[in-house]
Amino acid sequence: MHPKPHTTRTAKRTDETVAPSPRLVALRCLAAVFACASLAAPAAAQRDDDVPDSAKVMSAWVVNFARFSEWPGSKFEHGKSPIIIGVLGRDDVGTALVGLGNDVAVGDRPVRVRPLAPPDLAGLDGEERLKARARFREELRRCHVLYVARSEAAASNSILSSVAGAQVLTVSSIKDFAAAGGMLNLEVRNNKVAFDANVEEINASGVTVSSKVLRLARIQKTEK
Amino acid sequence: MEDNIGRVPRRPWRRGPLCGAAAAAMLLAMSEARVVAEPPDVRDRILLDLSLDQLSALEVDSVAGVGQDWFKAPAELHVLTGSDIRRSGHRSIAEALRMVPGMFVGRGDANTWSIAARGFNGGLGNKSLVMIDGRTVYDPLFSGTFWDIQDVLMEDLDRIEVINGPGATLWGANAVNGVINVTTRSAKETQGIYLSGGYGDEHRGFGAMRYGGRLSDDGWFRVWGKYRNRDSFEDADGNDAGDDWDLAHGGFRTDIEASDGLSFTFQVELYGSDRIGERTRTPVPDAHLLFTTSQQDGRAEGGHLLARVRKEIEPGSGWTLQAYYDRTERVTGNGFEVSRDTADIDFRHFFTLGDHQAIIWGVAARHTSDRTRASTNIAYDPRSRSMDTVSAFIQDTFTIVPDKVFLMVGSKFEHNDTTGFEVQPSVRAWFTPDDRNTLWAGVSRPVRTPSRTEDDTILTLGIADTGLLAGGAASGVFIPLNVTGDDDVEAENVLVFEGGYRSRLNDRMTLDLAVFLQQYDDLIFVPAATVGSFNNDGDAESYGATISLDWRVSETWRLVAAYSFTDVQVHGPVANSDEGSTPQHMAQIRSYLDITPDIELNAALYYVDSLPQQNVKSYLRFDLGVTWRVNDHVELSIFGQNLLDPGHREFSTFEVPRGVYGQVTLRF
Repeated sequence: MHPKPHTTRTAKRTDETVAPSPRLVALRCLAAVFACASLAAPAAAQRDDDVPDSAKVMSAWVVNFARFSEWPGSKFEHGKSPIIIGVLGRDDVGTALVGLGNDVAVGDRPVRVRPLAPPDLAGLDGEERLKARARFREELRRCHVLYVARSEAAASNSILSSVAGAQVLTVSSIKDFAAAGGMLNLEVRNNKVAFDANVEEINASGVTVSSKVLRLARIQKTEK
Repeated sequence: MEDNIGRVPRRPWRRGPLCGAAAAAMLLAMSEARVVAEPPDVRDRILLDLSLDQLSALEVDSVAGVGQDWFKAPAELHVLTGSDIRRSGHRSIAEALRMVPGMFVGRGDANTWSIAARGFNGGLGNKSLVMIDGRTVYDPLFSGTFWDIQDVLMEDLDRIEVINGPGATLWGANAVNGVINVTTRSAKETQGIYLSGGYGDEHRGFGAMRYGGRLSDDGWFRVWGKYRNRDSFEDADGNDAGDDWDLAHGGFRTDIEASDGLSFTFQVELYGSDRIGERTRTPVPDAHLLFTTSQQDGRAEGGHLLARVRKEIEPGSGWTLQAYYDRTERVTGNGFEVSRDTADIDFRHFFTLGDHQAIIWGVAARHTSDRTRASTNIAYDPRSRSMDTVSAFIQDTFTIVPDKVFLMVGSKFEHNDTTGFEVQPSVRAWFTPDDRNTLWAGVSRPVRTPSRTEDDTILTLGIADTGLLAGGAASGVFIPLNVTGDDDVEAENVLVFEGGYRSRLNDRMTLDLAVFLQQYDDLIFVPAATVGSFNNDGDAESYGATISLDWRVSETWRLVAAYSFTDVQVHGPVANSDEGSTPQHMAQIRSYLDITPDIELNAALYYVDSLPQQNVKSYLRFDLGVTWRVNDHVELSIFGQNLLDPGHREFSTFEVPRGVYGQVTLRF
């Protein structure tokens, strides 16, 4: 994998700067069309193909991670309370997950996909900000699976520390997410969706991921 | 892996236009705080029914989330994916271009193609720029492309992007009528073993292999080789064209993804053939317009080294630095020799400025030098020549109305040894009222700089008796009828007006329409007598339209249909071979059908209008292929090409024959 996660640069960021201006993102995408098309970049105009969208396959993996994992009983209110998949931020996998993940059940437990966004702190005073952040942190910690969308790449370290110790299985397609301390890191490899598993982090989290999943993973360690 | 993988439905859902719209919506509507759920799509639910092993084995589109950039491009952009090409049965880049709406592909013989959009096929296509993996492959000797040697491992082809029309602002001179940009996958995406081989009556044996492996945790490589052997063509009377040929080609590529968005690509390729068959027609000295015809094998060889560094600072912001060295040598059937060395370096930087501007700029330099050796009827004066080109470009995209109206302004500034300083500006605007419609328009002024041929050639078309030539009695004094280059020839310039409309008619149909008007000044031609010096006495207009429809009829069936109209009018006292060499009407229908998840039936029907100048009648071409994936590792295919007739002319008196071939592919 990619041995050096960009942790030092991103860790200093505050919540306010997590999401870049939406207009800017759209504009950058437009710029990318022409920039990339111009010099043999693999990310330029790609027409609809008859192969599946990698985002959808990744979202199916996230649902399967929920299916093939076990949480301590204390993580649920009762025997039929849902498995919550949080989608923090936005990317194509998150969007596909919202469409795909609901209406699935694991035994008696329904799966619920819950879109999450960092709190809008504008106009709040200091104490309200703290409260909003605490509420947001609690929302994240309530999830059983947390999919961190690529829009949150810059904040992934603070997100991971927010859910530490809360038995949350962290999943992302952000590059080097597993090396940065995330648990399951999806990527496209050799035209197939594959994933890295940071087994140390998974074991430390208290979530048990089935060996059926882990045997398909490439093992990754946290890189300091 | 388990046995059940062979039963994986390979394409259970089709990524329909619906999710494309969602992607586009995401792209442009990110200001909304909440995720807008995509309507649940029953087709996707099947993903959840797959076993973990099946899910692991599923092939996916490797480019996530950028699938819809094509839809909003403010140019006549057509994209052939690797899958389109694999399913077509076309076995070379040149042949695959038949699938591009508005693109004319005419085979002069087994190893010569004439390819162009918007007219001016010029034998080898003199107004288009062709690039493979960032490397320019059109030859400045004649501003055309030797299509026989342009080759990649088709399995590793990612896509071919074609801009019909000018692309000069970003790409530079010669990108007047089109840019053909061929991209292969990175080494990371082509891991494992690939072996294929096949045989047919026209494709007389071909084979390819690739091994992709890892260099390190973040480095990948592939090494590959291929060989092809093609039969000769015949004319209608059964005379052999003597144009059978072969080509061996191999390469190595490595891709390294370092930290912080930095990535490196290095590749080296070599190719060669000592059998590029040709029927040559040579004037007989001291005889009035008498020619000898003989069959001779030419040869070609060459290779390149390319290195590229890319830095992505954040999405839409970064830079690329690329350098390559390319060498190519060719000896034609009649003994003319040319070799060329090219060194090229290119830097590009793209970034956003404020919330409303996206800027890309770059600088590039190229040194190319050739050496020629004359044959009896082709010579260059001087025999060797070097040319240096330096260029810079800048292009700024403004958001006029957020998410809806955009304006792109840019220009290329280029200095070359032949014509000096050239400015190539372009303005484009587009309007995306919603995710389902794009309306675009553009005005550009590209130029085409004269080729080495137009500057320096001495081409002897024939030998004539002066008396007979004057219409009198034989004088016994013979003169050569020459076409000669002229150093004073200026660049051709063109004013292009174009526009287009794309619409998702419904969840399954996408319509793409483009129109153009191109006004050419100072076109380089030879005088009407076909003898004399190249000059800038030609002017021309061309206009036309392309319409294409992509229809996903069902989960297992996709249809693509296209029609194009092109009209070229050349004026001036020039030998105009272009008006009658461009088909006015072209049409195609392609069908991609999955009979079962493991059996594909692919078909294509092409119509090409007559070419009076080339004595070519209109024709229909029909290709049909069946591919059976026996299991995850083995694939069998049989393709029939040009099935409707035993042979037809496309760009010469030699006929493109019917052909059938079979292929076995192994992947591990």
